Amino acid sequence: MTPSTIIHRQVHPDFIQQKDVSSQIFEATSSAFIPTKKDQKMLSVYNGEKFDAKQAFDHFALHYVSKGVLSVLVSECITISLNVIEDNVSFDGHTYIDFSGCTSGNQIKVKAKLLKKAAMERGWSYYDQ
Amino acid sequence: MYRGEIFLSPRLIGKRFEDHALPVEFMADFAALEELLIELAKHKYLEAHPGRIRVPRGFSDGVSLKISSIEDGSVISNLVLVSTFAVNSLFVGFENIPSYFAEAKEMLLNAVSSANSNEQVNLPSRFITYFNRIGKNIGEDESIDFMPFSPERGVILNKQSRRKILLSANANAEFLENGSWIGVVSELDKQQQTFSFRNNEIQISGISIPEEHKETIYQAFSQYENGIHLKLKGIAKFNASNKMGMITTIEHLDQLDAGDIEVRINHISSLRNGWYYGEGTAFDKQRLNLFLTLFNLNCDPIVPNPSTYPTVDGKIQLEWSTDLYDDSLTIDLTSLKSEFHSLRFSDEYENIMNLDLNLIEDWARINDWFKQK
Repeated sequence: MTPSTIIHRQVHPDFIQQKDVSSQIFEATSSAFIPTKKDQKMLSVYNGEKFDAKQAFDHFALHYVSKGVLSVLVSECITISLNVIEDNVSFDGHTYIDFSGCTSGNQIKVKAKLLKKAAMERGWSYYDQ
Repeated sequence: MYRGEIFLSPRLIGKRFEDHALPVEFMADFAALEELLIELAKHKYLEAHPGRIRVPRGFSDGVSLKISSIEDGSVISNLVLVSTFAVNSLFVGFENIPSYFAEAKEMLLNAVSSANSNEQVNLPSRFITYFNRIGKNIGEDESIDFMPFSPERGVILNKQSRRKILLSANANAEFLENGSWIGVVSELDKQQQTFSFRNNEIQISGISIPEEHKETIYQAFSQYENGIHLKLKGIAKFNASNKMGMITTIEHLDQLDAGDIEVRINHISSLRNGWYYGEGTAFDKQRLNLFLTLFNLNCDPIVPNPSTYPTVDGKIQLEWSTDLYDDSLTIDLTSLKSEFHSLRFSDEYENIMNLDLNLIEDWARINDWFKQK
């Protein structure tokens, strides 16, 4: 993986809402980029060199529910002091964004908001209609 | 004002009654209460006179309950029993008849009290159906205390005790309840003039379209793909398992966008334990509704409609994002303690406010934030 590698994050249907009725814009909450307690500060993503967004969605949807895929660049994580690590745990291409350097909930919140902004500006890499 | 002895002083308890005014829809409940009391009084008379097959002529002519006054303390309605034939000398010629109305009142109070304390309700089945109308307008967090000055009796009618009374005569009985529900119009049958109403929890088909709401229902159906929802206020029929079977009366309809905070709160209320990949707990509907009430009361119209999400740790989060800012308000629904967090993208400046949404002044701080932007 290089700084220009894209990584894909699955978004749970309850983390999405229709923002604009007329233009059918769907927005995700910044919580989509916040690791839960179970994640132990490691936010799971797919390595874009091994999965495109649709492939990542299909792979994830075999076992879990997702509504779509938002994507950011590795460089966008590094810029805000988040390392991206491909550990290949559970499947080849499994990667995580490492939030372990964050010492407070607010630090995580800020970084999640910045990641969400970068991802939403790029637009949905894949959205399940 | 009617003079005379106060017959009953039911107290309406709930946020809706804190302005000490009686909502007009409760007049229908009191009208049904009057009918029940008259029928119970007749029943007591015939019980005391086994040889008679009917009550004396004029027994209940013109007898009615009148609201003589409304007192503070949520809402206490003083009900006086009067006869329009003899307002000042009730039941002239029927000297013992007031005692049957007193017995009727006791039957009513005992039935409610038994239901409230999970005991057997001893009310003949033909009187039970009156409770389809009495208490129909009581909301989730509301009740009627029929003996507010004798709280030890526990004569409290709420949704739960009302259901117990209605099911006491027939365990498979259906009952009517007022309420409001948010959903989409998923089917429309122009020939039959019926529609289907659906959300995460209910799917009701074959609801009759009243002429006065036809346009709204047609529009909602045509905008189905755009996520248009309806907020439907009316009366629904429930089965003994408390499952809604039919919407029998539509009183009001309002269109809501898919992103409207009411639609979102309604959706969040339907989430179950483990909704987020095994994490995340179900939300307390009453607390969600209380928050929504506070939001509608205190949030200035200048504040844009937020995006509204559940969080995995059981809170809800309102978000307002633009190209310049990402603002969020994370609310603990139990305490209403909240954190407002704003991030300005240009320089990553953060504005953090710890708020108590029980306090109007803390809502004002949110309003001020959007006003000065």
